[in-house]
Amino acid sequence: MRPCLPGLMAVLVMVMWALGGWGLALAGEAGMATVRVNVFPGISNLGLYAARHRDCSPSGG
Amino acid sequence: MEFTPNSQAQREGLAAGRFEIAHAAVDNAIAMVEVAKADAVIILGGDNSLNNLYVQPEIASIPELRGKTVIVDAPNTAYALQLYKILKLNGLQKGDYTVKVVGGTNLRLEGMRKEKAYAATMLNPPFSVLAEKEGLRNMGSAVQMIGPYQGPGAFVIRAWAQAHPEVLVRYIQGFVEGLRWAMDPANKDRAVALLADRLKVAPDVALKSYEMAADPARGFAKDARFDVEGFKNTLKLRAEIEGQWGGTPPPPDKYFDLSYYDRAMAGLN
Repeated sequence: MRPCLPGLMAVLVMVMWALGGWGLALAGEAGMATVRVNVFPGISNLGLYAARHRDCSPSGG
Repeated sequence: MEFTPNSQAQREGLAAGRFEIAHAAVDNAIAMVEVAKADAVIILGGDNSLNNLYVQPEIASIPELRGKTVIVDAPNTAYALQLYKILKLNGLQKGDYTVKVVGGTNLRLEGMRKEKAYAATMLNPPFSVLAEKEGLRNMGSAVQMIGPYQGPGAFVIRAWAQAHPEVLVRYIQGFVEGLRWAMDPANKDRAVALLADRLKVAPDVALKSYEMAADPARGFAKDARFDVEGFKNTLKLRAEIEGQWGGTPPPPDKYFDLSYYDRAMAGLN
């Protein structure tokens, strides 16, 4: 996936699941930044899921 | 790696620096400030919680919950307060029902499935969609009963945000770009497939969940914009139900800082 977000970022999402909770870590490309993110499972994470998987078309970036 | 089975663990984890950003009902950020005395600050909105009240099939009305057990994540935050308010609007005061702490939404649905004595809980998609399919009774939308509400959002420790503003701005940009992609009708099928995969639900459940999120009136806030009016009601609920601030909510500004969001959006537009 090519970088498609301003100034950064293809996003690496590491999803952890245990005991009903999700943990996510988002990392910028090339070690620029790592942010650990903690969430609950559910529809509200759609933006996070999509940040990892969206199609980086020319109009999308 | 850290896991958060419930909001208390999440609040404690954020305060302890085990992760930098939490996404959850923003009332948890208020609780961090007011109860745990942590300097948490909300930096991003999301939606109105998309919560509905669900009860066991044999319960026909909300007043029938008198004497029954209701299940919550934490007993004094967020969706538990929504539930208490709805019960109050239907004539039930604290003490008229038993509160059982079960955990996050997925765990509450599981509880409702396995323990028929658990009479009611708040659920949102995809768990609300599953609940309805499995016969739990939908008693109505939280926001229709209690008014506008700022549900999930993102919050951080203020000092971390001040030390890492560029990272936070880029994170918000990534989130909003992802959301825009997912909400673009041209990407609907792929977004639904993504939900089905990530949430481990059937395609029809993912589709219905997506359509609830995409509802322009009742779904996600555009670009995850923070709803200040809804947040005022979130504060009001805490004041009324928990007696916080002597029952009168303070001005909302101290709990959020939208400067990072504004910078992120300026960079996207």
